[in-house]
Amino acid sequence: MGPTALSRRKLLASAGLGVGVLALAGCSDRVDGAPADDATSPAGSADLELARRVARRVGALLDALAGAAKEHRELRAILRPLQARHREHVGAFTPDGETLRFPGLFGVPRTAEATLAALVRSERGAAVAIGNAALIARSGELAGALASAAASMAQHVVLLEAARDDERGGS
Amino acid sequence: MTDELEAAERALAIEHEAVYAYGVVGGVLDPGTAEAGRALDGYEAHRARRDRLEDVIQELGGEPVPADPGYVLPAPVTDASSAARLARRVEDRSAVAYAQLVGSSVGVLREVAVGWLTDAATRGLSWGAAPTAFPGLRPVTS
Repeated sequence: MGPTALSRRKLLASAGLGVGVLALAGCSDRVDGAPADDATSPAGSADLELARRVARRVGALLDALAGAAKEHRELRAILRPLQARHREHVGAFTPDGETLRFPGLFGVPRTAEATLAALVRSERGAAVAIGNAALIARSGELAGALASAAASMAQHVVLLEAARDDERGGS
Repeated sequence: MTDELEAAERALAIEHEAVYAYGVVGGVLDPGTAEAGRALDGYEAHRARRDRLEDVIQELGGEPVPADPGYVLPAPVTDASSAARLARRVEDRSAVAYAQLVGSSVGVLREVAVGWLTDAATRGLSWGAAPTAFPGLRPVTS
């Protein structure tokens, strides 16, 4: 049985989330087979808040990456693709019509190597936190999207560690 | 059949393919190289997951499907480059299967599937796959 891209937007569209632009092939909206919750039900409301929290967390990471790229021009080529992917994450998890404020993560360290090390820690922390968020999401589709975003951040950790090692070797 | 069981069965089918494919990948790589080590690691990881999924399916009341005697590969695997291409495909298909399993399961199985999805995403990267914002998910085209 091959995967097919099926649109399963009911719950997320009704909850006002942008995750519906992605497809989790073959997955039900709810794992227990119950009717989909809307944003006004307790479960739908809990998922909405969960997604909002994740969007804030990734937004803070996006700000940290922007600060790092501004401070260390030599890192821009490495950081730009990460920023683009985090914009997708924030877009997917921000409830429609909302503008979120992001808490600052850290001041940009003076050296590129230390900056990359700080970003590794931040991406790793976000990957763990968002992977944990996937465990408590009521909607199966939101759980899949959160787990996928966490996997993306694990990829970022690998990429940033490689860049940090290069920086260490070159300095 | 529950969504959870169906997703686990789909993941098991993918794992049977993955174990076969990693055997092919390892077969064309020079022993002792980093790539050969990575192939062996991938083979063992997927074999362990296959075994775990067989247990999960039985616990869910299903009957695990056995592996086919062989699988049709998408392209001939003759060298390190084609081997890496096949490994990337394996990990991409695994990521799709585990994203589905996350969305269809609860509790411990979901937790395990979250870890397997992350592993597929990073393992794919190690074979040269491009990073993506949502590994295992596909954009809706309609």
